[in-house]
Amino acid sequence: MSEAIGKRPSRVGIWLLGRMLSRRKNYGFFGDMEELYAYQREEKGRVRADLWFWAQILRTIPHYLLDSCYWSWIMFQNYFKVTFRSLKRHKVYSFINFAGLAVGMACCILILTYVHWELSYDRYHEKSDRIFRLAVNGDINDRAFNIACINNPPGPYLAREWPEVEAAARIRPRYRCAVTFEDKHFFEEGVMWADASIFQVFSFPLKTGVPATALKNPYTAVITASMALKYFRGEDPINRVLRIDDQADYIITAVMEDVPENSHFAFDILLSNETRYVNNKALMDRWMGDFNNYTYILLRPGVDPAELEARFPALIDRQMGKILNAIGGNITYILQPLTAIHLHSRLEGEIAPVSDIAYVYIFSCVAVIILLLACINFMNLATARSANRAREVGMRKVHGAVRSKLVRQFLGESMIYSYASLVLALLLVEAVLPLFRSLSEKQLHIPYFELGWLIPSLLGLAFLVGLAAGSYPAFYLARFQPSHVLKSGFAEGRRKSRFRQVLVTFQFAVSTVLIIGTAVILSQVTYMKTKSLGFDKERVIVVRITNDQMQDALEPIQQEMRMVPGVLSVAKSSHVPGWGARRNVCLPEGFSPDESVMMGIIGVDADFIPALGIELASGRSFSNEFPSDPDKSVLINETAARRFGWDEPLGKQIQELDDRMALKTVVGVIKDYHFISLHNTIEPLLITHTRDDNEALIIKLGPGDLPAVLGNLQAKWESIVPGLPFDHYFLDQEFADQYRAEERLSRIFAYFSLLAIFIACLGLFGMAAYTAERRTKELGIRKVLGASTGRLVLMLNRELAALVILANLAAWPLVYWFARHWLEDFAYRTPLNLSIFLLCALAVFAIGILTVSFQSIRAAHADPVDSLKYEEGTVPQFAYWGWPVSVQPRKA
Amino acid sequence: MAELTRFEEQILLSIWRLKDEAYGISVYRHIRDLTGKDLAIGGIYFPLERLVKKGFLEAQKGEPTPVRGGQSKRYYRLTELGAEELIRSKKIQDAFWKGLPPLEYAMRDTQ
Repeated sequence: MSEAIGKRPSRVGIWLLGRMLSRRKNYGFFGDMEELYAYQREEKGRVRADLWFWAQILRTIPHYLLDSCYWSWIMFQNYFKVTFRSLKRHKVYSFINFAGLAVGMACCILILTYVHWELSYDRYHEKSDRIFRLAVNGDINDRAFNIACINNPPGPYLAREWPEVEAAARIRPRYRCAVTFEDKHFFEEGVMWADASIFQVFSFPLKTGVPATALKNPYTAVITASMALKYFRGEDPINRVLRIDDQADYIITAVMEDVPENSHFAFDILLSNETRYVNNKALMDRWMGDFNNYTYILLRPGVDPAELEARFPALIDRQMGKILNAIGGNITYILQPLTAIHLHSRLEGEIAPVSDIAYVYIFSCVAVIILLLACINFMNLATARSANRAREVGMRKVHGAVRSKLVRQFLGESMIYSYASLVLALLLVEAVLPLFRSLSEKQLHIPYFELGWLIPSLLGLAFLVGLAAGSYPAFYLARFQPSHVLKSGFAEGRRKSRFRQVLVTFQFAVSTVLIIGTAVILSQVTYMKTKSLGFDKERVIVVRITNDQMQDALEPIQQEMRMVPGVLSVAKSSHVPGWGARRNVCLPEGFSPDESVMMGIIGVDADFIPALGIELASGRSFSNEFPSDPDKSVLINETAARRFGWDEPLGKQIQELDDRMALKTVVGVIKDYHFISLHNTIEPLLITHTRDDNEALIIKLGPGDLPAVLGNLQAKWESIVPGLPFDHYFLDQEFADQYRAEERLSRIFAYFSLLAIFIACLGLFGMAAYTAERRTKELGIRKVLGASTGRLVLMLNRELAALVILANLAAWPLVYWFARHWLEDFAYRTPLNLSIFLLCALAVFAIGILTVSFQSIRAAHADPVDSLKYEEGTVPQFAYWGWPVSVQPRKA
Repeated sequence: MAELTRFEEQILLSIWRLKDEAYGISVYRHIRDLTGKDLAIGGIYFPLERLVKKGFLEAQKGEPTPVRGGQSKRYYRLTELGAEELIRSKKIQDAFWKGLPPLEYAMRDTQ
């Protein structure tokens, strides 16, 4: 026994025990431990005694944890009770807090879903990190270009000759095709030529068929599941034959799953690229020309794309050097990572419209900001209303609550709010998801269970919100001195309210930024939709000519349609405004061959210019009275004349740098018109008179009954080319559709800025209610002394009005900077004038004042008898409107 | 007031039995011997202190001894409140058992 004395257990262990028990000054435990340790050591030796000692400590931990829960559970019940009491008692404030937080979180969840969707593009391909798209950039006679599609040979060449390239696949849209199976014929937009290797490069799962052989042979096709359903209604499509454009038959070799929506290109039918080799091998093997293929290469693991890029110039020089030198051109290939195309690619000729990473950033910012606004509401109201809780804090402190406990209590309270709001927000999200889908035009859904991290991160979000919203009020409230708040009541310093003013100003500044931003986007959209395009797009019908059968019947169709009453004229052309133009290098008179100019070229007939109301600047238009027009005459636009430096363009000669086109004479100059869209500047345009190569019929209608005329036109069409659909659209509608992306953006922005201002107003409303409440007695006295209601309202409004004005001043420079940047992307942009800013500011101001007045008018109207009876901490009768009122009787 | 848990009841009874010798280790050993459970020594202190806080026990400092590293024992004693609580608990127990035939026989009869 005596040996054991002085043999003490490990100090670390003792320290650990101290940590666990420090809250109770209980030293019996240490003594007992040492005693037991001593016995153990005597009986079993040092090692086993030590082991025993540590095991005891470890086994104490669960008891420690349980014990700490035991006491906090009791307090927790109390906190809960108090939270619900204050929640029930202050219904307006609770509503503001819940509504703000829930709407903020719902916005945040929706926006983040959108952002996640945008970021997910093309990532579903297994080898997406090794897939790159070959694009071309360069310049021809100082006109720079970056184009997403390239010539035919590089894909197969690289796959064959360069060992670093595992595979290459080309796709080439055929755009609109007439597809026929037995009696079913439809026009399909998503028809593409594709190499067999498409299934090697991309991960498009096949439902039936073998990927390796699916497109190997000419005249084979792969269709998607939805196409299979459309044409074959559940029958097996394999080995069935589809007729494309009434020209050739393709055997279906495989059916694949539909292309996921988050792909930067989509298709419904793939036709074997081998077919094109059979039809036109010379073109397929020619390096210079036909820059219409989207080429994707799969690199072997570990290959550095930059290293490959460095080797392209040599390849280009070897294959195309001579021709490029001759026309003064200089091009190279670049490699774009597949996953970067949707958000980072800024090339011409994208296969489908792409998005921009900037929008992802902007929307993420908006999400965070809206959430922040809601948090600020919570903070503001909680601190503003701290008077109501001051006594509680005092009482708790008197009963022994320490500051950290109180902080935890108030933080816990904001957590309750924030988690309850999360539930509300999720319900809200489910409710508005259909609206948001149509707004964003994306099939968004919230992958609660597909993404394992989503639910934890939602909970984390609520936690962060609770922390952000609750921490300041918690520390603020927990600081109160009991002697102070219990004895002399609660008086708030001026500095505290200044902090809240800053927060309110910030909220309104943010709302103003969003609202003005929305207005700028809207005005740009309106500008683009209403700007004169240089031609008359009203009451113009465009009919696409897609196959030979129509092409052959074009003359009779045109003749017949002219007879239809209500039709003013019918023209043929290779391009319709909105489609752009074919591009080629041209050589105007007086220029040397290495100074040739890239021009847009369209072919039209004599009716085109008058039908679209395009104005002539000088000279004449094409006319059937001049039979030599198709061979000898061209028109140019004013931009071209300026570009060539021609003061008197009529009679000058111009030549397309191509063996097939002879020297032609300029007979007229047309005024510039927008032949692509307002996103692009007007380029030099050459208009030739063609007899063939027509892609569209342009039908100009006079005033009158539109459906009747359309019906007649359709009847004529069907009588001449029976069985082919009358595939038409209205030119003005098509043009409006070009600005869909901007319109969508403006709509999304409009909704979110409305929500932002809603949240800010909720906060302002709460603040106004609070201010009115705090100054109840003051208002009563003022009224008794003779102040009019109007003066009181003015007095109450003045302070908050000043904040809103200040917010505007802070917001303007910021939004101006953003708007300037955004507008820079447009070739034709709306002027950024002060009126937008003033109007929006006025609107925000009006909303703010309305919100505040609602409260202040009520307060100013109140009977001074009631006001003077009012005691702090109770609920003034007028402060709530529409909610049950409980006035606490003053205890005598 | 919530009912005593079984463990709390065991602790109170042990202390009542041990009288003046009731401190951490003796209570621990007593319970361990009677229940045959190998419980952690730490596990006994939290309920002990909880019972002190509830007023069922009172604690008293004993003499420091060398084998305890110079620290004193903490002796526990049942308070009146604790005794009342034990009586209440026993009454409830008895009420449940009252009038029941001895279980050992009853189970034999049914088999």
